[in-house]
Amino acid sequence: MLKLLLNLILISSTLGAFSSCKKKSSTPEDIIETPVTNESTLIKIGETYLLGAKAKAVIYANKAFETGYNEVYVSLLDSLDGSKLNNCHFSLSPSSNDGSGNQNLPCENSNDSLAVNGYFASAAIFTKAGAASQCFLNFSIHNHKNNLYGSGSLGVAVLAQTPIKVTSLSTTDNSTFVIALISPATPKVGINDFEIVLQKKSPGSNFAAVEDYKIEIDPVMPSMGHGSPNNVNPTHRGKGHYSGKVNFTMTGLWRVNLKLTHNDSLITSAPFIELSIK
Amino acid sequence: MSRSLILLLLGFVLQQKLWSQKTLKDTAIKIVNLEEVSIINEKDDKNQAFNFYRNNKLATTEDILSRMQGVNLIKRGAYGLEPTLRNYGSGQSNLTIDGMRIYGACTDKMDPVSIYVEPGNLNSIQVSHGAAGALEGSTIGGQISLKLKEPDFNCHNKISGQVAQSYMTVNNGYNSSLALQQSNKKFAYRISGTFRKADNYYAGNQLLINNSGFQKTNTNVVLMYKPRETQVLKFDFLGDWGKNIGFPALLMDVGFAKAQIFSFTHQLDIKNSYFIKNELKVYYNTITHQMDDTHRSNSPMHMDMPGWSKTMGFYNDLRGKNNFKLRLDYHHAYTRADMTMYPVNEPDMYMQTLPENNLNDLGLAASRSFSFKRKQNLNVNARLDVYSQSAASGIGSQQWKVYNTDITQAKNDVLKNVNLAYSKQFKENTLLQLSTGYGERIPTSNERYGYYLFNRQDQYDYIGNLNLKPEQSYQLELLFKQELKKVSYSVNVFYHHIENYIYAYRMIGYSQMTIGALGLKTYRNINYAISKGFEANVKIQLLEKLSYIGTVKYVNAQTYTGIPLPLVPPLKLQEALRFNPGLFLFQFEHDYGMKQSRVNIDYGDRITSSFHLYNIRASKNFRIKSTVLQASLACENIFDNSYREHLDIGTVPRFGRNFSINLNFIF
Repeated sequence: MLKLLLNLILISSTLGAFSSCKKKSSTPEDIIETPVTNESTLIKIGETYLLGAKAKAVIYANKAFETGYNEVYVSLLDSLDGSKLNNCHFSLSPSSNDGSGNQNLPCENSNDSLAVNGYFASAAIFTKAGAASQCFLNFSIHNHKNNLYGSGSLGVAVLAQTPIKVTSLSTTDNSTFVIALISPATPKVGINDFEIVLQKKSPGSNFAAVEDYKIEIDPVMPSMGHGSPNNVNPTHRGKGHYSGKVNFTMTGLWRVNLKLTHNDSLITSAPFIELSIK
Repeated sequence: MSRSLILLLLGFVLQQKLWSQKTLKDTAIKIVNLEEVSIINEKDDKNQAFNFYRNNKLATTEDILSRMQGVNLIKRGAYGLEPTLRNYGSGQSNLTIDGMRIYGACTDKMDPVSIYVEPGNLNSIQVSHGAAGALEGSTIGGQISLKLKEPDFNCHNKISGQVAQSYMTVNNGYNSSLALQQSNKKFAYRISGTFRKADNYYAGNQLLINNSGFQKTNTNVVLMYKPRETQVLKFDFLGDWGKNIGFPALLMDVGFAKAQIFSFTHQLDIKNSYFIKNELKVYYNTITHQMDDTHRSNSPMHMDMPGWSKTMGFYNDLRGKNNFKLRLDYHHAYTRADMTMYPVNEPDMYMQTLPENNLNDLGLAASRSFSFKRKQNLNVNARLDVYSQSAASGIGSQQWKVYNTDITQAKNDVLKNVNLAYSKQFKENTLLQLSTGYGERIPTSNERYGYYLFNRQDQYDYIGNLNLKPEQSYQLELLFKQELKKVSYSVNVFYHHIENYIYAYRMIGYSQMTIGALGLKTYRNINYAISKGFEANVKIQLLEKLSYIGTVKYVNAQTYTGIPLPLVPPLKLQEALRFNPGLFLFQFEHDYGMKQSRVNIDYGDRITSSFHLYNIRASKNFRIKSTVLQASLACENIFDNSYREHLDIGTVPRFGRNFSINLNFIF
């Protein structure tokens, strides 16, 4: 009975994710970068059958999943003959369940039905670490080869990433914001390209990209109390991605404080992400 | 207790008089006969104070320097005082050892070059002010030249030398040194070693100054070979190893400081020619300096600040008649300083506070004297330098990118210096000299590349400004001296106008790096600054055995808007009365520093009260066969006054009452 309920939740969330991702069809395509073609740099996370579509999904990533923004590359295979499926409508959505109920998490999917270099590129944002029994990737597919719809789910382990690369907060109107760092992946002393993604979940709906906020950044070293000069505040570039420049004057742990305003009214100045510069 | 000690000391002095010992010409504190100082030779006159004080074996090089004309010292601790010429600091004036350029490795200037010369190895100090001192390097402030001792060639092939031991009570300080030399007609060597150790010192009123002890070892090896009468080859090594040097005025101490200075010199005497002598020297020196705070209980987080400096270069000096000198020199200097902090459970915090950078300098200098009738003389010297400064690419240049500055691009500067000194001698004993000069100096590596260097004085972090222009100084000096039968005196008045003066200003809206710092500053060239003042020197033979020497120095320096420049000393009087009844010698000294209320508040200058300081010294020689034992006793700061001088960083007072004894055995 419990299992049935869980499956129901999973399926509904998957469909929800599918529909939410579909809504983003107007956003630019170039946000999700061209997938890595060299398979050897990718590691396989796992695989699952997509029931109903006679397909199998093999999930790859650059590294084991961590809290924060994770690029996901999915290779779709015909479950009958094992051939590659390069023409599908495919999307994924992450979720977590730490015992207090299922929670949808932010994601990004391409609405291009053609695989690039054999992969469908997506992104999943995990806000908490957890075991494979707590964190899931849920998939939806419309297999253009046989015109069948299907879905599947894979439990994935998510490691805690320190310092903090993702922050989630709720506002008084019960909305939830998630901010995740995309770059710099390996921050260095000097000037760094700075890119974050901002998504918002209003009550009763799924996460969606926030595109019209003003974001100000203020990097500081918490243990010393100083900042850095000449940072460039990130501005919206499409699909909830904001990019600017962040400067670090020395190695060590830096905290980038984020201030969000919308139509000149302050939403929050509480969130921050942290970077460790070696 | 202390008064009785003074009486004891005086008693000792008087007792010595009763012992009718035969005196030596080479007394421990030697009086300079007035005849020895040629009045037309300016250099000798400037050495008058040096000659007066040099033979006091208790004095450090800095003590001797502090009594020289126009020299002041910036004090950060009991050790490593930085000499300044008038108000010109180490970036604006040059300090050389045997003509070699040496750069400190410490961005906080804890390691002025003068610390490497122990007084036992010091042969002479020559101070030249302004552009007149630009023969060995472009400068606006002048030059201090320290010359090391070298062995003489003689034929007796016997080892000679001296052993010295001194002790001072104020910091339980020991100073032991040994020097040996031997020579024959072709070979000569001199080897010396010094060991110094001192604990924390007591300032006036028995106030213990923590973090003020130090320890160091110094050695100097000179090897000389004279293949023929006109040619000398010389190898010189100077090594200095300091350990746990306390700097109470700063946030950190020095864990260790190592200096190794090598040179090779070829000297050639030229006969039957306009030219007299040629000297070629090739040198290399490396300084490593490690600041740390492991002995500080109040530091918020453990921090290391090492620094490195490596300099190599050569010069060729050709000397001729009429004071002719032609000098070609080149040096390359590499400097770098790092800072690493170690927070708990976080990655190390690392920064290059002085990004690694290179300086190249090629210089050509010439001087000559022209004599005219009616005892008129014109001395001309000129120097041209081509400088190139650039930072290496690496983490230091990466850091600077956040200021949209590429510090790897080379900054090239051509610097010009010229000085004309016209003098006229009236009668045999009076001289008037008018000098006019133009000097330039390049911005220091700290001023161009420094990255969040903390200044204890104003509590600001400083970052450099790559686009600083060299300072240019127009100078006028007037010297009058007269030598009468029992009195000789000189008065020197100067006026310097410095264009593009490098001055610090606050960067509004930028944050500091150092914990507790108040903000960030950088440098820029301001329109101009003015420095003016005078030095006066008098020596009086009061009685046959009683002489007096006194010097007064005063500088007034301000920006074009009338703001006093930082670290400008107030009027200072130093005088000494010397009584030499024959059997022994004693010297009573009085120093007076006027109150300095012309301060630069922005820089963190504080108003400094006036002070009086009294010292007494006594010395006696014992001859034992062909050897001599020199014994000296001193009481400095007799009244245990608590005082600080204006150039002392922080509010740390100087030494309180100090008794010292020195035994010097010459064989």
